Amino acid sequence: MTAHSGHAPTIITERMILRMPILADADPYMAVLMSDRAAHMGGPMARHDAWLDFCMEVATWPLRGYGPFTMEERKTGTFLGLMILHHDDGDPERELGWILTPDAEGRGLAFEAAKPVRAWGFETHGWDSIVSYIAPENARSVALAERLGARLDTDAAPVPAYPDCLIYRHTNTETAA
Amino acid sequence: MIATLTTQRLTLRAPTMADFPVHADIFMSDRARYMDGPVAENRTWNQFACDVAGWVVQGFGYWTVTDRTSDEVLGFTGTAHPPCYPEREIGWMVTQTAEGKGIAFEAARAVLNHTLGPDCPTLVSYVDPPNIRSIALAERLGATLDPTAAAPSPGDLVYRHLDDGGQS
Repeated sequence: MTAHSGHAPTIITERMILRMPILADADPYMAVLMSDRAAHMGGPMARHDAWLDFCMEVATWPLRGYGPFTMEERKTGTFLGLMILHHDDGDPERELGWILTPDAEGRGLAFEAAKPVRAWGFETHGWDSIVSYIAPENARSVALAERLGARLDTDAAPVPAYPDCLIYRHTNTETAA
Repeated sequence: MIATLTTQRLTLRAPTMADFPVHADIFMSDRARYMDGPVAENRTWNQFACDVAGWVVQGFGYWTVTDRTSDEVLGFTGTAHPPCYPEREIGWMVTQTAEGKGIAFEAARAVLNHTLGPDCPTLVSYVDPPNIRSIALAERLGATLDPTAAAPSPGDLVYRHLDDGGQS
């Protein structure tokens, strides 16, 4: 097993601080999961299930050495969402995912956060690629994956729990042959 | 950093991915009947993650309890304070093979000694009334029933642990 720090680095982008999640992020994150915005992810969730989901995300830092980065607005300190490196138990591959608050949407923030987080995963863990699992009706996430240069991979192993979900593959250009 | 605790027979250390199957087996078994279980296989990761996540965002969580000599995983103990709990709780679970040997007592005693102090003067244990083994253990650990304390679910017994300098 590779040694890892179990902790996210702090990454500064033009408009955001990307950092290790803290307890204060739980409430705004859970509010998203308890809203209709979570419809593509099995939501809206009950409060306790939203807490379990938050735990499931952050626990992967000590267990796997990667996990969610909190997207915090530099100017205001506002919680904007999570940019997530994840490997859900039962999923065939590790994933790059994102969950944003309603106020954060439509501003290019997920794009701005995804690039350095993906690059950190590739560089730190040496991954050749990572996928994004996206519900077919989630047009905004499909557009973001494509803008990030990911390609629809129809040969990838399906997710047992969501057989219809689209699988977009992000390739590490540093290790690609 | 998660501190490693050592007792006469046990090591309490940070959970790792390799401990997950043991944790999942406990939660899928009848042993979880007093912990809102048994749970379906697709819920076991959530349970394990919750016991670990506290370390990340709250500074406390669950340890994996292992045999000092053989490294065998015997169970899990530690503290947790999810939003649905009125207070921070110490809990424990051991595998079938570890039961009846005082393992949970020895491990929980180490957690109490490590945790109780000026920063954390009290902990509770929420116990389902028919869980007589856990009631006996809570009492052996020096906890007393607190009938005035709020419980997460109606009917749960609340056992209160106070800092006694590790005397009990």
